Amino acid sequence: MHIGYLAIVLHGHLPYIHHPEAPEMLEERWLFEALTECYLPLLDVFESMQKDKVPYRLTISLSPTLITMLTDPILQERYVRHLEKSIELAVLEQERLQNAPQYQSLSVYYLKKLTELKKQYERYNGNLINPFKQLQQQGCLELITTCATHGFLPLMNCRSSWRAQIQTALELYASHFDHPPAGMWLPECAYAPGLDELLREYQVSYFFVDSHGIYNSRPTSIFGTFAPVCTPAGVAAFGRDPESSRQVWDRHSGYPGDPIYREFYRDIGYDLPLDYIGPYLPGNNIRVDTGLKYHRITGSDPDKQPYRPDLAKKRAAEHARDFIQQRYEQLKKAGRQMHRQPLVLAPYDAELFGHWWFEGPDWLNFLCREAADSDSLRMVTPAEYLKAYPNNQVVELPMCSWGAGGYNQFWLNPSTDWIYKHLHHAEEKMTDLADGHRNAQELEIRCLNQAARELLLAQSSDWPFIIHSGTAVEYAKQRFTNHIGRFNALASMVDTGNIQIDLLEEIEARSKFLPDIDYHVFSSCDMVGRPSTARASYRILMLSWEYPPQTVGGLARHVHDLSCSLAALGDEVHVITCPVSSRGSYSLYRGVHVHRIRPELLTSDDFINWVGQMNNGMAEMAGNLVDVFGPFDLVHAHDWLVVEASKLICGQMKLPLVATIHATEYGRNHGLYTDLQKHIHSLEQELTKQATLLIGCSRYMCQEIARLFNQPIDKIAVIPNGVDPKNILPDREKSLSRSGRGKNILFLGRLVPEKGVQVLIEALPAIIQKAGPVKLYIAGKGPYQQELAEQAKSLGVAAQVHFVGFVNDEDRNKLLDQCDVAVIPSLYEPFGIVALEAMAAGLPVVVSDTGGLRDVIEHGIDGYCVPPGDAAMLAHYTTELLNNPELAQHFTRRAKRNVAVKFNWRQIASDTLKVYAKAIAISALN
Amino acid sequence: MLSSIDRMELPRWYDENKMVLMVVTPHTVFLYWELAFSQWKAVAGHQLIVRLFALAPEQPTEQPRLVTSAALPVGTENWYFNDLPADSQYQADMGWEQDGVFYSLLKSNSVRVPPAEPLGVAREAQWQSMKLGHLPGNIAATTSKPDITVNEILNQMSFYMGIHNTTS
Repeated sequence: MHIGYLAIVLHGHLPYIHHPEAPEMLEERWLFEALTECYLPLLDVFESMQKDKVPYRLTISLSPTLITMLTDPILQERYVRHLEKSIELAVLEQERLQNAPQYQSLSVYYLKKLTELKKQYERYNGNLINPFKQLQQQGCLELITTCATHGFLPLMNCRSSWRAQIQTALELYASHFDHPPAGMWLPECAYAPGLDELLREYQVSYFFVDSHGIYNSRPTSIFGTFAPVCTPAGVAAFGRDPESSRQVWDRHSGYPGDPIYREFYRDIGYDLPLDYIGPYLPGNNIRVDTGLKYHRITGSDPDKQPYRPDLAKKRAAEHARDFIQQRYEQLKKAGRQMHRQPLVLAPYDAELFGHWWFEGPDWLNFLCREAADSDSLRMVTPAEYLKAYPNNQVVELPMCSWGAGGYNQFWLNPSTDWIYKHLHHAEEKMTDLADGHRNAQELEIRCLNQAARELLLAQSSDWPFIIHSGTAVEYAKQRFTNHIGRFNALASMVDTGNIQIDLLEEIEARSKFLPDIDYHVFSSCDMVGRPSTARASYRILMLSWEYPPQTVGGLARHVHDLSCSLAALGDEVHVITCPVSSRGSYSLYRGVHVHRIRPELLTSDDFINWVGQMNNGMAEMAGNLVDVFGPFDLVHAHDWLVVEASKLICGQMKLPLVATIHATEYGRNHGLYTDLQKHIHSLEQELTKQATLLIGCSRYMCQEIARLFNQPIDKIAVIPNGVDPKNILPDREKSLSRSGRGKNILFLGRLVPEKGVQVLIEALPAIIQKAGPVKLYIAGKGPYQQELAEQAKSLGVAAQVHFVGFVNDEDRNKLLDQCDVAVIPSLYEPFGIVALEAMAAGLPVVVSDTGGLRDVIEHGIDGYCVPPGDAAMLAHYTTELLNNPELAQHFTRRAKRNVAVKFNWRQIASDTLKVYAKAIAISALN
Repeated sequence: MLSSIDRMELPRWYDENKMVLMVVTPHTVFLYWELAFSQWKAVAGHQLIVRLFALAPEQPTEQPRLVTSAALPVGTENWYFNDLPADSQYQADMGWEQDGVFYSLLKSNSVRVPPAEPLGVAREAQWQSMKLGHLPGNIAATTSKPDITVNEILNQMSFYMGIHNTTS
């Protein structure tokens, strides 16, 4: 009986080398050499095993760039020419070596091999995808793919880039193989936390990481690399087995270093005089490998013995047997500590087999046959193993890669660090273009699609890899520069609307890569949809004491925008809320069902009774709604006022409860001093306990909830509040240079000490001193107003301070338009929606570095963050923006973009759905 | 002859304020930056300094801890911070100092460098089918009733986000 499994994975990738503009390109030989030495021999091995009915199992990853080149007619034609040239050279060699029989037999060997390869290639009609596809259909190969251009994901700056790299790759794979791949090879096995969520979204079941990714996981993985782990998003990660890697990879102790095997570094392309070999070299004079190598490794001496294919083959068979024996020992040992059959996962670069290790395909052939005959272990593919063992340990994987050093240093180091500034700029630019041109027209579409291709090609991990490796450096640098340069040229044509069709066509002709790409894949929010964990639609019951048109705080607007966005994503949302005189008991608006409890239910003058009446009314109404609309999937409660109704409804209907805590009574008051405050606090406590999961609007808020109510932090999700830029008008950028008037500072908020207006007034004299005459508009009211007015008077700035009182949306927009900087000097701020509104309106902002504001502003990028309560710093930064309108304009442009990308409601609704799905899953378990 | 699209050049700068921190290894981070022209004008010849902070994301109320700082030679566009403790969160900023006060010009993103070694401490394993685990049960809290009227309470309701008041 077998005691465990072996999964061998070969990753095939080459950068996209496509030069229709030149008759011959040195770098095209990378593909030709790989075809001759690796892919064709491997296919030959697979087919021979198929013919002999060997039940082997192998996993092959084919990169989208490799697939594209393997199916490219120009390259196919050029490869045939290359092969013919090689055959011609082998014939010539037979003559040259007439008097050296040991070597002549080798030239015969090569000639035979090359002639057979040519026949094989012709049998495939030059297209290797067909035989691969056939082998997959026959069940022995599991074919997967990697990112579009093999981009190194952890060093990208935008999630949209991850999405583009993954999605376009999956689409290209599906177009060739008619179904999506089971798993994905992350380029360079490079993982960064969060990638698993995206893979899960695209229904990718597994990926691979290097051993230390598994060893350093949190918590520690129990089975090490002998079983996959499950990431928090539910994707399987298989860890590379270090022992089997070492045996094959290691330069000294590994199999490929055996003295009997062929020496890679002795090639007649280097050894023979140019006047003889020249015609078979690029440009007749560039020394490269011809593939005709006559020596074995022999030893470290430069003196090499002739290569003997028969001996090498024998050694490959011995090494295959040894490999299987070692795996058996390994599995036996591992299995003793596991309650399941262990797995050894051995991933390799495909090109190792045949190209670097000439005998690799033979070794693989022997190995598969050996494994098929063996009773001790069985070959599997990752998907097969997952089917057998679907339950895996949940761990968080750290950032890691399989490159030298184990992290990012091979791609980010002093020889390559200069590329990232350009890549990151292009990533952001591409996202901006996709966001800003949702409905582009014909030529624009072509420009944007090509820009997306150029960016993807610039992201290829090959360029920094080659530059750092020190071979073909100039080619890699120029390729990178050309893709960035072309990207910038295309972006500028779209920006200016001046599209030069000849230039566009010339660039298009260079890269036939990803012909069906749709640039929208780079957009920041268009692609946001229902998370994969969520069902197609939920029936959700929202409980909120206020809902528009009744808006006392920001709660009503929040519940409204969230409900509309959920409805847009396909959910059936029912809101139960308080009555308002202008609305009936039911309305349906933007897909949201709004039910208002009857006003006659709310009769009490006593607050507790009133809240009780409201909650009873809500619970009663929920019962009626079930009769009409059917059962709910979940209740979402907003703040403590609806805790009783939530309890009743969830108890009766056995529903999971998600509660958003918008602010806490403790935080608002910096403590609990009155009976009312203590009462509200206890109700908040109750709500957090009742809830299956909680939502807070900032990291700060989540910590506060966890601390105040003693809730585990993993029960609380951070989902920011949103702002709909459409509601914030006008666009200030158009009315920027308004000379001839003084400078205006705006404060928006309640007048209570926690909002910090006193700090701003304290800063005013210094601001006036450095920035000249200014006016401060204070919009909002509150108990602190009188004190503030007195403060202004005592500081001699009363004439500069204008208390505007409460403002409606229209007046707020007017103020946003009239002012030059918005200051939010809060001492306590769970979120800080006002900052978002100012940013959306194009007004530069200075905020306190506290609470949720920290998550909103990027200091020095889209606004300034000031230590809370520090009037001198507040004066300094406010003055910076007032005195430097150009810099302020940089900030506002950036701020508008950030608001649109980070705080859009579609994203927020999608994140909320993830919480719903999780809550429903938890509740199903209990 | 090569076409112009085959000998493209990289722009020297993009005229934007940007500062990006990147993970190199568990012990090294790389920082690069660019200042907009208008920002350079505001810098007005001050000696620029970069600083690296360790953050405690689990305790947002805790102040970031200064790990190291460096005065930048003129023309520097990037910096490597080496020998850092692994498994930590870092953020950088840049600014100048005057009269003992540091004026920060801009801050970078924050990054988490991965752990360099196994956790060492065994924790209870979770498995996929139970990955959401069991959460604490629901125990109702007892509450006392304060004496307050509906109107009083509604008047104090504008605490949420401030100014959208159309009813009061």
